[in-house]
Amino acid sequence: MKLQRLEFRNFKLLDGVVLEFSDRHDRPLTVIRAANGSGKTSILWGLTWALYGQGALPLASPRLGPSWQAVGAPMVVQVIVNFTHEHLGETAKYTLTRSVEETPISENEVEHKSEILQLTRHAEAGDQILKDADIYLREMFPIRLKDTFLTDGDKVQGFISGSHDRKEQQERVKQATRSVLGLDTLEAVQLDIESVEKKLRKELAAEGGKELEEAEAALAACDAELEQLRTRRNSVELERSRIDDGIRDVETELASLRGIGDIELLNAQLETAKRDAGNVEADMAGLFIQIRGLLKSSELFSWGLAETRLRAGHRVLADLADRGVIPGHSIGVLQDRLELRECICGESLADGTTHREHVMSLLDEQAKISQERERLTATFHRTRSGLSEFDEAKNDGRDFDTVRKQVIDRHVDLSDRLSEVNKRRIDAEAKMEGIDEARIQDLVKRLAQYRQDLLDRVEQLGALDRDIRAKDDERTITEKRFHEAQRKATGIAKAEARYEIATDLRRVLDETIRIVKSNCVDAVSSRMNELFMEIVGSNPDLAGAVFKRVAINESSEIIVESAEGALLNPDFELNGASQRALTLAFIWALMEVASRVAPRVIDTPLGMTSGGVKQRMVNAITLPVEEHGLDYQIVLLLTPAEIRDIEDLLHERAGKSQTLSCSKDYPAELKHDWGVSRPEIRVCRCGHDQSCATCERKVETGASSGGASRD
Amino acid sequence: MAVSSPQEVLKDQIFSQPKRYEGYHEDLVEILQSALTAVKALDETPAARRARLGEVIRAKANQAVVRG
Repeated sequence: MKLQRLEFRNFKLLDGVVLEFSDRHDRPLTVIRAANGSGKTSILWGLTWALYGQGALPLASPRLGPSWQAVGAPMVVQVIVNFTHEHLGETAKYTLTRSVEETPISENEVEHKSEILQLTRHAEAGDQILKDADIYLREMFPIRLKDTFLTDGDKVQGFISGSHDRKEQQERVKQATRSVLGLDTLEAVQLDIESVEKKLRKELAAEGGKELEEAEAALAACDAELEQLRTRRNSVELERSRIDDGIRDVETELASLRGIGDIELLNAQLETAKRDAGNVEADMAGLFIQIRGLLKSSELFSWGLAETRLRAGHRVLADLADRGVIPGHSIGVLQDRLELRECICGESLADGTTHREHVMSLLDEQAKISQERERLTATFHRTRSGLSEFDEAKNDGRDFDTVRKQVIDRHVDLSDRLSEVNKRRIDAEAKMEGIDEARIQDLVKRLAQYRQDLLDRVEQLGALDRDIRAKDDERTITEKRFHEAQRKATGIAKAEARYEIATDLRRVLDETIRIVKSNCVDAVSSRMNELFMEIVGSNPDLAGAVFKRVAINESSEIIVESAEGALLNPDFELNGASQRALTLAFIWALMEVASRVAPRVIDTPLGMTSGGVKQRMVNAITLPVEEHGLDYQIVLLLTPAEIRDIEDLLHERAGKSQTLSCSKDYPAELKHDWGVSRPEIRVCRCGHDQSCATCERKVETGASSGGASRD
Repeated sequence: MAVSSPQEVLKDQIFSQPKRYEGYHEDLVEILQSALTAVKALDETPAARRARLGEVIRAKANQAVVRG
């Protein structure tokens, strides 16, 4: 199927917008350039709605008409798709029209009448309106492939990762693979042929006599019982799978709850933290007492504070002592001389002599200053002994400064310990509050029940497997009996031929399904790996490679292996660009392997991808049909930012280009006023490097400058 | 890079069994292809489709299809 034209009537703000698509082999790409808010997502929605109806849209009852439509005013919304489709080797043109009458019933709610769907096949003999258009559409665009045909680039990773749980991802990959490879069709034919084979076997038996009839009845009974056993097995297997899921969910929740901490352990931690806090607080109190004591023991404190001045004073006193100024011995000498009545110089100091009077005046003078000397002497001795003690204390580390430093260090240490202990206490208390003990008990109970159920299902499966093996053996013997009876019977050649044709057909089909499953999945896996490595520019053979391979495993999971051989989780261990690359590689590989001619419409495929990955990604998904080897069509809805740096490549690959603009962007971004009273989106035929009066923007954020202007 | 389509695999399966299907290779291919087409067309119920498939096989057998 290839898109030719898409027309919107009253759909969102796209009323009157007509898009055309390239179906050229040399240029399979159609570029639709649109800034954010200019209708790219609306186009994807419109196409999704036209092809699949409202059920395929992300909202239950979405507003399809323009946002300005008045409450209570009905409006017919319509999307018309022109496309070609190849069926049984013939390509025909079709027109699909989907319409609905929509009435806004409030600001946010709308009411829809029944949708009207019309599918017309255009032929030389005349146009034919096809009955049951839905049935044709389901065949042409299987719903399982919706995300493969029409992809929202911003959600593209979600196809294989992100919001979907593991099972859902597996199912998506499995269903997309099955649908594209046509396995559903093959299996439906397989069921048809099995049914016919059984019927023809019964007819053969009816013509072959009693013995053959009995053998056939026994064979049919075996088949019926085997079918019942297998159905039962599938159902038990499904139950087991659900129990497995349940166990995983409960274990995850328990792990997360227990990740907070074990309640008893937390209690013990809390007690320890409280005790430690008490100890540290007591140590701190002791320290404060020590500090107070230190301040009170004024001696060392004073010595410490006045050390420099005291040493200077002591030096002055020592000098006085050295010079004999202190302690002072002149009074005794003068008194001796007066008593001896002779001066040390030999002169007489007899009473009434001038010399004696002079010595007596010296004695008076000395008596006056001796008190000062005594004080200085005492101070000298005190300072000397004090400094000696202080030096001794200093040498022993008992001086004020050293003790002060020790006290400060101890205080800092205790403060740190106190805050660490308090943090432990607060953490433990917070965790205690976070634990839902009742929920844990409930989960533990459920887990025990699940495990019991699992054991039960495993036993049931074992028993069913034994029954199936026994029944298979019984069937083999019964079949032998049937063939023996068949050989003995006569006149059944025609019936035998009929039965054997059916058997042969069934065998061919069984083998075909086995081969398609195995070969095609391998081929998709291998091609996906090739494309992914090409896009991310990784060569597993070179040193420094990030990835070794990507593949689809037997459980339909997409796996990513690092260069070191570790399995990477696509959700958390791949960056956004690699996730996009992986999903696009999967979709492309699937389409290529299935040789399915289908449009691949991708909204914002590149996102924030840049540099080499961006170039390689666009290159890989827009190759000319001749180089690609398969017919296909690609439509990229790109923002100007996505276009940046790949203008040349787009120029080379695009068969058709259009630009969408929205009136709301004037005057902020659009250069020209369209003179409209309501917001609307318009399309012009400007390519990614052109502009006109409709689309010209004030700042060209994407296309290279100097683009031609056209009307 | 494209692998054989289911139809091609079917054909290969039939033609790779020269002895067993000798004389009616083409018939088997035709029957299977028409069965595939019928499933794809989605314009019949499974019961009607199976009845028709039974008739096609009967008709082939009546044309004295001989197995190898």
